Formats: sequence, structure tokens, C-alpha cells
Amino acid sequence: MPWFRILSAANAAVLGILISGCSVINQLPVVLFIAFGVNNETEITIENKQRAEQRLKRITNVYTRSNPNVKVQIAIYPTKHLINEIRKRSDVNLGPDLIISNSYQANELLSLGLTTTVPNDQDIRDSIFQDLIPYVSNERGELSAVPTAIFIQLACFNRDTIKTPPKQINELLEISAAGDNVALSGESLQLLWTMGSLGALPAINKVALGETLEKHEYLTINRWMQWLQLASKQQKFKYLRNQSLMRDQLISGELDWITCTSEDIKTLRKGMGSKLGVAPLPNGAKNTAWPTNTLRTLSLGKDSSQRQRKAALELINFIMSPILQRRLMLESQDFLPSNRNIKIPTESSFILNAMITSVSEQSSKNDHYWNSLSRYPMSTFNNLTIILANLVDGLIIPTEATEQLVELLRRDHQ
Amino acid sequence: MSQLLIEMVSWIGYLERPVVLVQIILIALICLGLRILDASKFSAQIPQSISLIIGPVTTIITTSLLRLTPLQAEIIWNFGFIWLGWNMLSILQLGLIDQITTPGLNHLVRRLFRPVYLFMITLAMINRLDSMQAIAVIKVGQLFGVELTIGNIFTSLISAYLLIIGSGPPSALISWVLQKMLSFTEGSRKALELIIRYSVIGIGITAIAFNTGLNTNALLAIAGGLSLGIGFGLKEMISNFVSGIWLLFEGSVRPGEVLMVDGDPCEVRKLGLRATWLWRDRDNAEIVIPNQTLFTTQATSYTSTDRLRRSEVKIRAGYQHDPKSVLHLLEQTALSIPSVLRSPAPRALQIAYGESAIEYSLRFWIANPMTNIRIISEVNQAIWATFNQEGIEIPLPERVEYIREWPNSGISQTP
Repeated sequence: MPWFRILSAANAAVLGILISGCSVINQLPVVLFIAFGVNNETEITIENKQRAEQRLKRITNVYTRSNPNVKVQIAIYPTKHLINEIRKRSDVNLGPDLIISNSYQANELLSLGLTTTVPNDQDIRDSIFQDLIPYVSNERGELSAVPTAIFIQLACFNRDTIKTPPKQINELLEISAAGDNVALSGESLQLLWTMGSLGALPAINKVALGETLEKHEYLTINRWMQWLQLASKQQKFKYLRNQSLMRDQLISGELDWITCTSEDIKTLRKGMGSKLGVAPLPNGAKNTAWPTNTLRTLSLGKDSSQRQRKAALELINFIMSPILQRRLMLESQDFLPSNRNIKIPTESSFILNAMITSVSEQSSKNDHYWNSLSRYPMSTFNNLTIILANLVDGLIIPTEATEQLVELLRRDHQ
Repeated sequence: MSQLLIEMVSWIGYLERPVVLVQIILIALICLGLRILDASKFSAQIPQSISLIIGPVTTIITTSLLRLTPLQAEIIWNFGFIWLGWNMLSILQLGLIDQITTPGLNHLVRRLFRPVYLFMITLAMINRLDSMQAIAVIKVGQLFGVELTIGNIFTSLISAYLLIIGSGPPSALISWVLQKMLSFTEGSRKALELIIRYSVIGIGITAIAFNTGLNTNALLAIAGGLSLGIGFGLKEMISNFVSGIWLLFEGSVRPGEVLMVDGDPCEVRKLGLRATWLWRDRDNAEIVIPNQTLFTTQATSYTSTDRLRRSEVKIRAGYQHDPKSVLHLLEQTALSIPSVLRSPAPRALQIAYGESAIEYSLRFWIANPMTNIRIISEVNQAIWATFNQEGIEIPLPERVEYIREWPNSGISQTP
């Protein structure tokens, strides 16, 4: 058996390392394995891999310059597969040392035992916006991950066709009726903002808390459903499942208005140039939109060696430094830093201005609802996506969709 | 490509983790132990199929205990199952060695099951070490303006391999159905099977090329490059391929045909892209002859128009026996052998008057050219028995030498 000979050679190599002793191991470079979940992508392509690597290497290259003994290895996954892939790797003790994901996944990774809580986190707690802490805390109040950046859900549009972006959600139907092509994401998490604009959020929150709904509260959910179905009946209004498809169609001119995340802005700006317009999501007549912002977090893997853990914590501290965060924010203009000690220059950038407006006037008013909704597993939102798809396809009427939604939230209530 | 190498080298970093390192060392020790055991006399006493299971099963049982400890030993546990799976394929192959009548199954294990198993395990291992999707999009270069990635090169190679190996059974099924519908011969069915298979492979390879991103211009450029290559180094290969196709269409060399090679009847087993595989009954040898050789040189076939073969046995009988009765006896003897065909009837001929005997020839027909030697032996034995029974002598040549005395000389001289 020839593979026996190969393994015998490997034996000699491994035994050689052992004989040379631990002191030699300590002088060897330490490889820091980083797993990166790419947002809004269903699969890894050459382009989004390059984009993600470039984004991360802007940080790691600077870090490794001052820490030449650390080598960084980046594994990129589509967000939806991230947890499953980390689980497979961790099953054989080959899990990454650092996981870059959204806060929702960071909490799930911790609850599955695939990551560990952040040790000695007081400095981090002191440096970040306090509003962010609940998003990355477990039941015992420990940090499941370190939040580093906030990607804001915004409205992206073609300035050539839409001179003034809609400020009210019903204006979306008006511009669509006037001939502009509008698209919303068909994924439930990306549609939650409409729940805020149309006033259904308090009622949904009540269901999520396990409380009984009054009739008028029930009707607010129903009105939300009615609006979603009404929009789908418009000829120039559509729901797309894939965020990257929406992005591509806005670039190609097939669409004029879409919801986007600030992370998409770089690609959109590259494709559209000065035609790209960015604005906060439209509010309702009496209620504000609830943008689904994405909190990018860093989690610590469970399988690290001592040296790898040390390097991971050093890298986290490096990323959290105000100087680096500010520089990266100004360079990319596609996120808001989690570090509260950074002053954001809104006057010089309409994109940063839109992001700040979104956070201060929309998210901050509704974010307390997240506590109840964040208890639901991802499967609940996947099932909600199916209900909404049936609604916009006309397979069920708004009343049925409302009933199914309430039933789903009650059933999955934890 | 350097990016892939960097990725692979970085995997060494996992050895930094004590849990991983200890397990790798344990795996290495297990393999070392088995190597020693394999060389010992003890292993020679164990049947091979059992010795193949001992290692992996022991590893799995031991590791199931280790999994309860903080070491967990998941890597060894997985290694045990991978090893068991691989050895189970070896056991399956061992069982098929005797099945020379079903070479297809053995072929399937060697060419399909083992590579597929190895491929799946490799992918699973890479997926534990890194992001498979991200590795798949690593660029390795350009071909006619098309960006080649590890993923599409790998996919194309695997698809092409599976196409070549896996197109056999469907082609056989289609040709079998057509044979039932149109009632043609077995040789034609096999020829049709090969033609369908080559067509499927040709179309499939083109489809894979298009799927990789190569356009018509690129394919034409490749074809141009191949033409140039044919002029230099690939001449023989292409010549063999074209000869094979031509022989198929012509029908002179098809699977199932019987050809004479160095005086031995050989059955055509397979007409490959490069060579023809023949089977020689005498010593169960497989002979590989380049298609070009069969295309350009003279060949004797017993199955071109029909499968009958006329065979011949030569015999001598003494001058004292009436040739008519000898001829009659020979024909009757031939008819007593079941493998000798009744029609055309056996024919005995008086060939010549020899030094010591009259020479006869018994000519008879057989249905399967591959059984010629066996039937000749049976006929010869029957002639011996008949001649013995009828008192017919098979004389041996006799020569009498004597010494002649020369007159008036004391010298003796042989004539």
C-alpha cells in the first residue's frame, strides 16, 4: 500500500517536530484562521471574493506589518452557509480562530457552542455604542462577539430617473405608477423596514412577547400585509429574492429604486458613478421605517491554540482602534463605526449623511423592538419569507397572511 | 496557482493546536503499527479480507472511547471511517477477482467507485480545512480570454472523466434496445454501442468546453493547435483513433470477432480509442494491438461473414488397409463428436502415398472458432480409439541400414 509509505514519511516529519521541542514551536509563525461570511450573497464569485478579501486585507496587512509572526488565512463563505460550514470544521477541531459575521449569526454560533464569549470585555464595552451591546449579548450578559461596523439599510436609486427620493412609503407606489421600476427584497428580514413604516411593529412586538392582540392591533398587521400585496399588483413594482440581483439590475438600469445596504454602495458607485442616489428608507404617515441594519461582528472560535487566541484578541483590539475605524470609514463610506469615540463628518458626504439620518431618526426609535424579535431562530424568518412570498404572489389574501404570521410567531415563541 | 499553494501551506497552521497535533500523531502511530504488523508473519496467517478490516475497525472502536474524553478524537474517528470505506472497496474488488466472467464490475470498482470515493473524501477534507467555494474561484490563468479557476478546471476534468467512464452503460442500453427493435447482429450491436459512446463523449466534451466559457473561436483555436500537434507528436495517436473509427464502420474488427494472431484465434474484446484488446483462449492473455496495425496489415478473420470454421486433422494409415473403408471410418468418427457440425458434413480425403503409409485428411466444420484446438484434440482421440478398435495400423516410418562388402578390397564402405 503506497499510502502507508507516504504516511510513514509524515510520521518522521511529525516526530521530528516533537523532538525539536516546544521552544521551536513558539518561534514558528502563528496562522490565524479567519472565516468571513459575505453578506447578501448566495454564492462566492471571483468578484465578491476579491471584494471581501480586499476589504479584510486592508486591515490585516497593516496588522501583520507590526506583527510579522502572524499569518492570516481567510476563508470566505456566503452568509447563509456560514454557520453550517463552521459547524463542520469545528466538529473536527479545525474551526476558525476568528469569525466575521452579523450579530444574529454571532449569537447563534455562541448558542451552538461553536464560539466562546469575549474575555475581559470591559474596554470593548466602554468604547462601543451602548445601544449595540444588547445585539451581541447572551442571557448572562456576556459578549458573544465584538461589534465592529454597522451596515445601514438604505434606499438606493437612479438620480437620472428619480430626482427626489420618496420620503413616504406610499410615494413608492406613486413613482412606480408613474413609470419608475421599483424593487423590494422578497426576504422577510429585508422587508421588516416596511413593518415600521406601516405601523405594524408594535403589534408584531406584542405577539413576539407572547401577549394577546387587541383587534385594532391585529388590523395594523393586516394593513401591512395589504400594502405588500397592493404593491405587488403594480406593473412596475416587483419583489426579488436575491439582493445581488437587485443591485445588478439597478446598475444596468432595469430598476430605478431598490433597498440596499451601505455595503453595496461601493459596487453600486463603481457601476453607476454619479447617477447613484442614496437616501434613508421612506417612513409612513405616522410611523418611522425600521431599517434592518447589519452589525458586523468578530467572534472567537472555540478551537484556537493559546497563541492563536492571543493573536485573535490582538487583531480585535487593533480593529477597534478609533484611528483605524475612522480611516476605513472615510475610505469606504459604506459603514458606520461601532466605536463611539469617532466623529463622523456628515457635511462632506451625502452617503454618510443618509446613514446617520437613518440611524438617528429611524433605527434609534424602533430598535427596542429588536429584543423580542431577536429571540426567534433564523428558521422563523425563513418561514415568514414563504408566507410573504405566497402573499405577494396572490396565493393567499392579507387576512390569511396575518393569521399565518401571528400563528408562526406564537408557535416559535421561545 | 501560487494562491492555492499559499492556502495549502497555511493549513499546516492547524498543527499549532494540541488537539489536532495529538490526533495526527496518533494516526501516524496507528499507520506505523500496521506497517510493522503487515510485515510480520502473523499477518500472513490472516485472510486478506479480514486483515483489511482489522485496522479501521480497531481504530473506530478505540476512538469511540476517546471521544468521551476532552481529546474528542474526531479526526481519528473520521479517519477510521474513511479507511474502512476504502478497504471495503478493496474487499469488494477481492471478491470480484474470481469473477472473470464479469470484468465490467471489477472495472467499475477500479475506474469509478475508487476515484469517486477518493474525490469525495478529498473534497470533504478540503471543506473542513478551508472554504471550498472560495478555493474554487481561485484564478489559475487564462485560456483564449477565458478566466480559468480551480473550480471550473476541476469540474471540467471530473465531468470529462465521468462522461468517459459513465457513458458505457447508457450506450449499451440504447444499442440493446435498437438491436431488439431492428434485429441486427451482436457484432453490429457492439459496434453501434461504441459509435453511440464516442458520439456522447464528443458532444459531452464540447458541452464541457462551452460550460467552462470557451467560445466557438476558442474551440477552433484549440482544434488548430491540435492539428499542429498532430503534425508533430500526436500523429500516431490520431491515426490510431481514426483507424478505430474506420474499422468500426467497416465492420471488419468489432467486439466479438475472432481474428488469427500469430496462429492463435483471438476474440476481439474491446475496440478502444487507441488500441484493440483481444483475448487469447490458449493462455487467457489479453493482447493489445494498436488500431493502426489492424488497419494497415493483413488479418485473418473467422467471423467476418459467419462464425463457422473449417478445421482439419491429418492422419496416416497402413498400406494394407482399404482406403475406402478408412475414409468411411474417418467420416463416421468425426460425426461421433458432438461439437463437429453435421452440416456441412465432415469429409475425409486421401491425400498422398507416403514412404510408410497412405496419408489422409479429415476436414470438418465447427461453430465456434475459439474451440478449434479442443475439438481437434477430441477428434484425434476418437480416431485413435476407432483405429484401435478396427485394427487399423498407424505405421511408423521404418528404415533398414546394412553394410555392403566391396569386391577385391578389404575396405568396408557404406552406400
